[in-house]
Amino acid sequence: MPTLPSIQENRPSQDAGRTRKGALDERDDSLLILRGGVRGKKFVGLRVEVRPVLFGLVASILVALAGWLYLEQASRVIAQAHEILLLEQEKENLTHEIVSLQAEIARLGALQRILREGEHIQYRLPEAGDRTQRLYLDLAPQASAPALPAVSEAPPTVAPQKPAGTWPERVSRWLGSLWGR
Amino acid sequence: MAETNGNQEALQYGRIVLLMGVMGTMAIYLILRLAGWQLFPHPEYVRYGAEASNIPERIPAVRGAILDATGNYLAVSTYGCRIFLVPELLDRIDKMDKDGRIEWGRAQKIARVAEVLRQPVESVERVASAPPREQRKILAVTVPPEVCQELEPLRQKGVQIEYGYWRVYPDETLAAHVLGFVDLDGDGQYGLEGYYDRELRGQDGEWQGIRGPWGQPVMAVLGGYRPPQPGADLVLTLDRNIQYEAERILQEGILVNKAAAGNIIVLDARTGAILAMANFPTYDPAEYWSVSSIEEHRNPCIGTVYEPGSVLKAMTLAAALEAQVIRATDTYDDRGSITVGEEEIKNENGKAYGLTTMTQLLAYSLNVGAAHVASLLGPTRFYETFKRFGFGEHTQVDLIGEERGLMRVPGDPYWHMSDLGRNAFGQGIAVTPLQVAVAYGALANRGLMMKPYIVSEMRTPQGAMRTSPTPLRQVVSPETATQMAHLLEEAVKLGMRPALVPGYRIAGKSGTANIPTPEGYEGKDVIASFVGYGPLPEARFVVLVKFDKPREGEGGVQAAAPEFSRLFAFLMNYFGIPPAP
Repeated sequence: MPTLPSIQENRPSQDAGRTRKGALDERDDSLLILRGGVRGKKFVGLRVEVRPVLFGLVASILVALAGWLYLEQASRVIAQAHEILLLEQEKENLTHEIVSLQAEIARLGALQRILREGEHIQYRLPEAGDRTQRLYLDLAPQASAPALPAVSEAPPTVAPQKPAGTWPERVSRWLGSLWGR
Repeated sequence: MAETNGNQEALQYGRIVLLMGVMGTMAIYLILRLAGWQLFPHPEYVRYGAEASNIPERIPAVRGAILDATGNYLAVSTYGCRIFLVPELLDRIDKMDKDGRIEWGRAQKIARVAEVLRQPVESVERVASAPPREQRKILAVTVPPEVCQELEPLRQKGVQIEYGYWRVYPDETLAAHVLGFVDLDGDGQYGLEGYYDRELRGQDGEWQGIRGPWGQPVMAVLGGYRPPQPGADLVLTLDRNIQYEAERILQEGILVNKAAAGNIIVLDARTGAILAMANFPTYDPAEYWSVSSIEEHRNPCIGTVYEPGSVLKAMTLAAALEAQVIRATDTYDDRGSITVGEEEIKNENGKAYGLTTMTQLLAYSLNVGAAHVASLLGPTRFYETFKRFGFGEHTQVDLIGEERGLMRVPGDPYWHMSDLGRNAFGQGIAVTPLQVAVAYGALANRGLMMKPYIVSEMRTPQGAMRTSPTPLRQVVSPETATQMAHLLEEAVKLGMRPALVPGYRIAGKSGTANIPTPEGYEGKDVIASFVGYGPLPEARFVVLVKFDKPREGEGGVQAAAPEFSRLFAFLMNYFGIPPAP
């Protein structure tokens, strides 16, 4: 079974003090003394190396961070998925509503219902072939109809516009018109 | 002292080592166990997971609607529920109060159901008591969901509630045989619901995902949601106003003539579009189970064959004119009987008419004349033309359950020469009403037969598909068709005056056919029909009216021709077609 070199019991004996001092001299920055308390008259403590602890700490933080990222991402995805699910359900409910309204339109437009409503207002269904209500108009042009204007007649004409002329001419014309008015 | 300290140190050290060893072992075990679950998933765990939270759920698609030519709904789906009663559970006492009185017994449950559904208690009781007791009873259909919610407390107490899309037929029995129905399993049966079931039903969607501890959906897995595809809407050529009028006239005609049943078909001769197809007796597709026999679901216009009788004389003459065996102006000597294939054929009244024109042959419906023309024509040309008219073949109409009829032809084991004489006046041949209407449609459409159809447009989410009129074949030449129109018009004027429509020129022919029995044609019962088309010269509509077993064996002229006239006059009025000048 492997020994644990990083953990040693700290005793206040001279030898042990020398040993500890020597170790501190050698690896002063790599040891951390944890005071576990006093048992009887003896001081009990643990010496722990800093590097592995720091490494473990950093590793734990990284793992926690990765876990947090994963959880954050997963929870967001689930939240979004749930939102989508709610929207799908809403869509389905709207489809139910559309279908029900369509059926209501069909029910209201049913011929049987219209006929029943008609009976309430004393509407009588015309007998088959009853043409008394219909007026037929013959849209074909008749011989006695008033003749259209002959093509030879002069078509309406548009008065020819005066040429615009150059700008001095236009100004003098305008002034002339003012003078005439 | 030093030894004691040494022992304590060793013990302390041993405890630490032991503790760390145990923790380490546990950690290794957990890691290995997790790795076993996570990295090497056993199919069993996958199955457990799927069963626990990943059961796919069907999302039903909305069935497409059926609309008539004017855009009104004839069949549509609605969301709601159906209520069933389970007599065995209904009788169980489910709850008693502190004093031992029944709170939820049969009577209380029935009273509650009646109250919620606003039905008389007696009618609910009647449904619940109907035999057999072991079978659940349907009580109400297409109940709004909010009403069903009120019945939820009774769900395990004798009341079954099924939510879903259910079919509604707003015009009740109108065009029931054309529409068909959707059964309780959601499958289309008969009519258009059966023929276009695949198109109408759409495609169900699916939801597959993770559920909560109570089965409530939480989220869909990737690709676990497939939305439903709604079914296609069908737009028909059938016009509900014409259909309603046809059914009204048919029912009145059946009452007046005391007939057992009847059919009316209105066809657009130029396109083959079916404008109306009425049958009586009929049924309500929303309660399709309320029939005495499933035979009542069958559309008799396409699914029931009969011997048409004299209406086929028009086809016999058309065949002879086409083959130039006779001319429209020809005459023959009617002696009251003729022998074809060793079988003597007589006129219906047994009389001899002497020198008879083709118009008179048709007007007085002379069997001897028709048999004479057929024998001049010969079996080969006769049956060739009859086949071109579509007898013995499906019309290819887009409705389910069409019969092809029966026409024996030379070469068939049971064909005899005497069949030629009898087939010439519509006996010994079985046809459907639609076959006869389509055959007359060919005469009305200058000899060109159009394929009958009833769906003019199919609307899907991807777009609309319109049905184009499809010519089937040129049955007879336009000249022959014109000659036949003239002959039939004159025949109506001469011998079938009840069919006349004031102000309009029509052509047509009546038929009075004995109903064959295993013993022969001995009964008094007949099938009376009239088929006509018009308004001439450019005929647009074909109308067939048929009554089964009218009183006292009244014929087509007396029973069917007046109803034809009424319906044809309605069509002229409805479409605003002015009378001929």
